[in-house]
Amino acid sequence: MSAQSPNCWRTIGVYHGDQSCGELIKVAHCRNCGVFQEAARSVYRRFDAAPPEPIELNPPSKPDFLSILVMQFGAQWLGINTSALIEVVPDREVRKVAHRNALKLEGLANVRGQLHLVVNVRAHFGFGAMQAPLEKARMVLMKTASSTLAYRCDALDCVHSIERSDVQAAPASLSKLLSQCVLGTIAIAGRDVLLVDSHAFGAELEGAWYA
Amino acid sequence: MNALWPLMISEFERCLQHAAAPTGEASAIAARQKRVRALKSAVSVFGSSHIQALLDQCDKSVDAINAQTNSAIDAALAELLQAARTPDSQFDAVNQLALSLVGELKIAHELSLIAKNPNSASPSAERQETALPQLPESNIESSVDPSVDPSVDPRLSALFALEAMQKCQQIERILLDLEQAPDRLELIVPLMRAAHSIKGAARAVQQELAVKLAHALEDRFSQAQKQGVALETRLIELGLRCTDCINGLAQAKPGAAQDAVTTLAELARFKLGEAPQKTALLDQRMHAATDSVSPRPSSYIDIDGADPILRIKASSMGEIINLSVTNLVNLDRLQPFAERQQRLRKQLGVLARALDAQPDGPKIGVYNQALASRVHVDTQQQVRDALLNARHDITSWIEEFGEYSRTAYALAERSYHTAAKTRLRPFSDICASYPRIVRDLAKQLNKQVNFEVHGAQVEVDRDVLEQLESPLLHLLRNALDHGIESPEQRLACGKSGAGQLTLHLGYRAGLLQIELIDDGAGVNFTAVRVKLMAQGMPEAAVLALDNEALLEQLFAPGFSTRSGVSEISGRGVGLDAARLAIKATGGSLQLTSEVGLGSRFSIVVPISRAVTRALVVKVANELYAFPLMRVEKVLRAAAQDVVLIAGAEHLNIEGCNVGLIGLAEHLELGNSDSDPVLQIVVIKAHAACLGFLVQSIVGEFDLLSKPMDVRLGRVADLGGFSSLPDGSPVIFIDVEDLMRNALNTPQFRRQAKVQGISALALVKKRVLVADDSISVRELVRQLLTSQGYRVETAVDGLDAWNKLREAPADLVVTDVDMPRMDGIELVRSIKQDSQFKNTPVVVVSYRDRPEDRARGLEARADAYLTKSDFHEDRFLQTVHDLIGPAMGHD
Repeated sequence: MSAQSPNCWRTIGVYHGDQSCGELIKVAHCRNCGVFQEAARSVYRRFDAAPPEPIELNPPSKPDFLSILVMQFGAQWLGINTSALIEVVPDREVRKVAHRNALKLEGLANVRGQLHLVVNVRAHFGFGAMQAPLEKARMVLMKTASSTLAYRCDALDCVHSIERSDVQAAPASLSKLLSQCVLGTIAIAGRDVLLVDSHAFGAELEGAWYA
Repeated sequence: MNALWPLMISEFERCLQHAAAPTGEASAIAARQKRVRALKSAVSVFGSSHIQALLDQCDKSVDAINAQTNSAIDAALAELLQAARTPDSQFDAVNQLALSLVGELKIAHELSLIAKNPNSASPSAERQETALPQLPESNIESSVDPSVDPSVDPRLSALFALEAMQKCQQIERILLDLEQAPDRLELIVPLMRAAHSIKGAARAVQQELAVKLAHALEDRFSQAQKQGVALETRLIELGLRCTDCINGLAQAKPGAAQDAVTTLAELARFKLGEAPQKTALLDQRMHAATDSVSPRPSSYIDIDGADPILRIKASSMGEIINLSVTNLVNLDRLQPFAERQQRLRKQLGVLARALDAQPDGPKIGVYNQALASRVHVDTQQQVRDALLNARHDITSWIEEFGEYSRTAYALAERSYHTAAKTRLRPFSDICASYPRIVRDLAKQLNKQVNFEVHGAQVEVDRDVLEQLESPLLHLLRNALDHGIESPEQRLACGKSGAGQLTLHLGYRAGLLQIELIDDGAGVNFTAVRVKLMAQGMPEAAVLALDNEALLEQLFAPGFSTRSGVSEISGRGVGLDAARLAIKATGGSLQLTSEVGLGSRFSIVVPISRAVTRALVVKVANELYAFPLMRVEKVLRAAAQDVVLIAGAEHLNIEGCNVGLIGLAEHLELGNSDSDPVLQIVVIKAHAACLGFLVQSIVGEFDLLSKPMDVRLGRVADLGGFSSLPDGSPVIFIDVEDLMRNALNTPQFRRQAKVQGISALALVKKRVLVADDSISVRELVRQLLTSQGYRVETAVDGLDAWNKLREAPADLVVTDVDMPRMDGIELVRSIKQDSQFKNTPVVVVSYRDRPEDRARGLEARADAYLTKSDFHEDRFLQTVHDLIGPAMGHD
């Protein structure tokens, strides 16, 4: 295996590359190549490599686990309880609403025939400009107390299972607005992720277009 | 024999408890059958009795795998057990009860047989054997308990109310038919069936009174049927009252129980004619009843032949429609796949030809070399063969794929159309109650009317249907009160004593046409002229009006030829309200009339209100839609043709200077780009004409318009949301609002004065401020007065509401927390009132939680500001946005 860059299949391989890789003579297609396979394995190894724990009936002391979806908004990573989410869909066209063209309400988006109001989380909490490339953006549909709402995140990490006891107190430096919706902070894969309280977060965003 | 009775009761108890256990499975049914048989043999010590007959019937019906029969058995046995358990119960009394229960069970059994095999013998033939149950009068009046058991599930009660309403409508229809033809005794069978189902349902919700009423109704009519005599009007009257009582009980109306008791007593006292004329009529009618086709066509609406109707939540139906649309849109993506396959086939063809042309073999890249080495191509011939195979394969795949995508598309399209059709409801939903209304009204007015409905099964969008309900009812009353004459007058004119009132329903050119035709006196044009003159219209003007113009005057607000106000009509608020309501659905109402021959109201409404033909335009790269009906013209013009008149851009269109407005700027979406060719959408409204500059015209579409998200509150200029067939969201423009707001911009207000668009003088706008705090009231008052508005204040919601009704305001500013009537209540009252619903309301409150705002905006407040961060500028800006500057024409 030659010392290739991780994305070699895109540059010298067959995936839009120029097919100049010497390995191709041996393997004919990138998917037969060890470099590609190793890269694929590493995708799965992003998460805990430990084998799954055996499921016990009536466990003596059940640790309190939470499933959170980790999303990027500008410079900030937020984690939200998956039970508050409806679905994550590819980013799509958002129609601006006349006279409601405030920064905080992006507009309307059509998800499966339903029109949803799209809130700008980055603008509302002041998370700064978009940092991830545009194609990584996703639209997240969330339940709120009364209805549903949608927002765009710059990028998605994935769903993580975390132990409640690992959640640390949120730093005091957070803005007042943000600290109202944050339960604490947790380190996931070297990132400081703010764990948000889905109810408060939803209520705050729902109020966004009144402001 | 009576000595054995107490022993029997315990036997009963033991057996019936088991026998009446809920069943469902075959084993349970067998167990029940065993119990019933054991009980039967125990009862046999009393000799042949009704109880035994009942148990026989149970035994016979128990095997019917039919929930209805089983529940009927359950109910009958439970009732028997209850009767046996009462202290001092006597065998004879229980025996008597068993007799009536046998009749009921037999009907249930027959019904289940009919359900299983509709061609089986007529139920009525067998019914004749059943002994006629006598209504024990004392039983009715003594055991009346009007209170509904609180343990009954409220949802069940609601269901019962609905079922009772439908069944009562059915009974009413039959009774009205019977009233027309009292000798059509075969009609009684379905009546008894309906009464019987009411009885069963009422029992399930423990509405004892309703059970008794239904039972008495069923009983009296079966008695009448047996005697084979033409029905007495009094019995029909009683029957109708009975249905009213049942409806009243089901809807828990106050006083319903009392009415029910009186009706029950009357029904119980009711005796059929002393000398029953048992004639050949009975046999004749019974024979007729055995035929499935009734000998005479029913004169009323035939709903029985229609599909059974399911009740499904509107939201889930909406979701199904949405999903089927999305599915259809999604399938469009198959097309590029097919194209790519075609391209690949072409490439393979090119490759094959190139291979033929190059005897040395093609130059192939490293990747293809590798491929070549993998498949061990030794000779060119093998490559050619492989290529040929590949071309064959791809050709057949393309065919397969094409067929699949065609079927998938056709299916998706059909599923969408079917789903969309679920929004349609048959017209009979609203007109089922008309025959009864017409009959009662005619009685009240001492008139005779034959009422007919043609085409009640036509289907209309449920929203349209809902909006048609009250105007149609009004027209019906109007036709009866003003149109049809009294029998004496009719006879004097040489007409038949009974008037003819017909409701015709049908589709015409994609629209629903409704015609209400009466053969009454027609409009009295002289009376209309006299009335107009009395209202102050100059005589010359009145005389100049032809008949058509006079008919139009009937639709003017406040017009009525009646001098006295009656319960039915004469208030003068009728026809204009009816026309307004029909206009709201996008339809029209016309009246034609001939003196002495009658009148005809023609209503044309769209079948579906939800789908709007729309012109979609691009504005600042966003898609917005105009309802096509409101677009006057779409045109292109060169930028140099635009002229400035009084500071505003105008374009000469067909000799008329039309003001131009950039739609992007007006909607605050950005700036219109300065293209040398202008795209203009011309709109006419409020007696003015304006051209809106758009970026480009996208096209015409049929769009499913949905209301705005309530969380957005009222957004100026916008009417609703929709999405294009490709899924991109579109926003509907409210043309009325857009024109009003556009004409209110400074350049056009000036223009309006110059051109005389509006002849109204400029007036100070009036703002009503409601707040219980004097300081806030004063603050707001001073703020607004400084801007030139006229301000009225009110100390609470009720005060404001009263003041508003005294003198309408252009804007209402209200607090939320106030005594007597709070702000939300005030907003709701304003927005629900037909006169004030367009009056904008600004809520200013200390409550600043999102849910408080939501509450305010859901009540349809136009803006919600909080006192905690009250900003003068923002408040004034909001006021300005809503009603414009202080001086203006309306």
